[in-house]
Amino acid sequence: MKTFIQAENVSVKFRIYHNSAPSLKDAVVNRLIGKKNRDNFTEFFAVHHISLNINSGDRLGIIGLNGAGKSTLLKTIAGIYSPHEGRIAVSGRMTPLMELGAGFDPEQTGRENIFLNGTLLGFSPAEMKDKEQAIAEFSELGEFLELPVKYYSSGMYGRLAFSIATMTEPEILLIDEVFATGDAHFVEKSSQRILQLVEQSQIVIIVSHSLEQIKNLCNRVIVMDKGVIIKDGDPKDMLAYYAENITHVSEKKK
Amino acid sequence: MNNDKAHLSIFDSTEHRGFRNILTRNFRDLVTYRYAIYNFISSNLRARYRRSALGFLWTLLNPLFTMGIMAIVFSTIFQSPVKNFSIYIFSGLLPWTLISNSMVIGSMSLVSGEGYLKKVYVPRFLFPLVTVGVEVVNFLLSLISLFLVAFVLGAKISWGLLTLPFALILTALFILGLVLIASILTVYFRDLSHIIQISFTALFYLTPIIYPIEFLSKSPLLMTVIKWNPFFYFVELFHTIIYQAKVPGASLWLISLGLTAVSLTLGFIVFSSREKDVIYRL
Repeated sequence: MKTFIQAENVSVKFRIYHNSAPSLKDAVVNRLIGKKNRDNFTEFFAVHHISLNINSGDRLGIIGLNGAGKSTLLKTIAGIYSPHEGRIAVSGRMTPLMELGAGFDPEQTGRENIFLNGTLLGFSPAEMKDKEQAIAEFSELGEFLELPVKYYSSGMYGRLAFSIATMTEPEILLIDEVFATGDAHFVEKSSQRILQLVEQSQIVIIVSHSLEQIKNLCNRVIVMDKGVIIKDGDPKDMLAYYAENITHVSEKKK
Repeated sequence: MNNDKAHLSIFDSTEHRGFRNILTRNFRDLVTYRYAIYNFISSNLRARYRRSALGFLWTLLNPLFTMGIMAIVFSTIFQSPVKNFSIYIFSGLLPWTLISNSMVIGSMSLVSGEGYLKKVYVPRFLFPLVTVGVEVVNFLLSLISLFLVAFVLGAKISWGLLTLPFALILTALFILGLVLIASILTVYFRDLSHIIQISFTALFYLTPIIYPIEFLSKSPLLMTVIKWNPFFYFVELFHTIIYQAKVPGASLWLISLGLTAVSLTLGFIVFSSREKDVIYRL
């Protein structure tokens, strides 16, 4: 089956509450005295009417200022946020490299978490058994794997999370600011691993503030601003456009 | 998930207009995430007894001791015959624990699942489902100690026991429907978890568990209250099967079946109409 991502007219909106989340009491009282609860929040579109076709072979970079909607778009593609308008169809196994270690249970050992995390990604225990050895080796955690992950240092935690997340064979790779964790040796090793994954995957989407990284990895770039795609095209042109129109303008405002 | 299987995910803002779409998606997620569900349940159970010297033995000991204390208290204070009464109390207490624990913990299940929901795609129903699953396993483990005691006390064993699995399935599905609703509502109104906790303390005394229903026969008002208490019927199923050693009558089965159907349908409707909004409210 073909690998693709099709977004049609997708919008995601957020609410900012000016007071705390409504309590049951507030809701009942407001209903009784007929007061509308509407004034307490503002809505804004983090992603607004975005249509996007991504096909096999695309290495798509998403750039934009903070709050442009890059991560929200990526999380919507991953299925974490549900679109308020429009529709997204994703064909292919997705591997999100976003919030590493998201499915970890601190009370369980590293080894148990390999399986827990794997099943959350949709793998069977048998499939994880096959990968267990490779994950253990790549993480270089040795006997620490038998320890509950709550005792891990943040470097060890990151190493295990990265090893699990990258040990799958992705068809679609979603990367949000992949920070390399651990010591210099592991940073080097994980950068190599990401490069290798990018090569293997059919589709790669990268959200990054590192224009250098985007230039090296991508063959297509979109520029986002205020939830909208303002430009889509060749990396060289887009990066030039971004430097001139976005970064430049926002600095002028300051 | 095998590599040869096609992965097609559709995230559609108009999905709620098609009932069948929602059903297919939920069913597909249930199959894909079956190992995750199993893993969550087993890690949850293990976490309860982690680092205790007796470990899983506590699941047997805890109900045994509770049963012992109850038996002593009731035989000395209320002078009721120990043998029958401890089995009576326990056969009602087990389903009650399943019901009230599921509700109290389950109402918070989506809120406590925030760490997962905000970071990875997981079907939202996984959290209420896991809560009920954990409580069902606990129920089964406590049932072993109940049978041990019943055996020692020489209780009757009847064909009625064969209907026990059906009573359990009905109760679990009934409570699942309620937990689906409660977990969604609690996301919007966090106070609800406290309200539920207090209500179930009250309901415990409004359900004949530590007293026989005959106690209330003089008060028509209380009898009416009990008749409108849906939990009464599920507890009664277990009373009949274990304590009276009989097959529950058709009317009791029908009432329980009806309540379960209503609760599951409502639960499904409420949950699937709001589940997509939950992520924005956590």
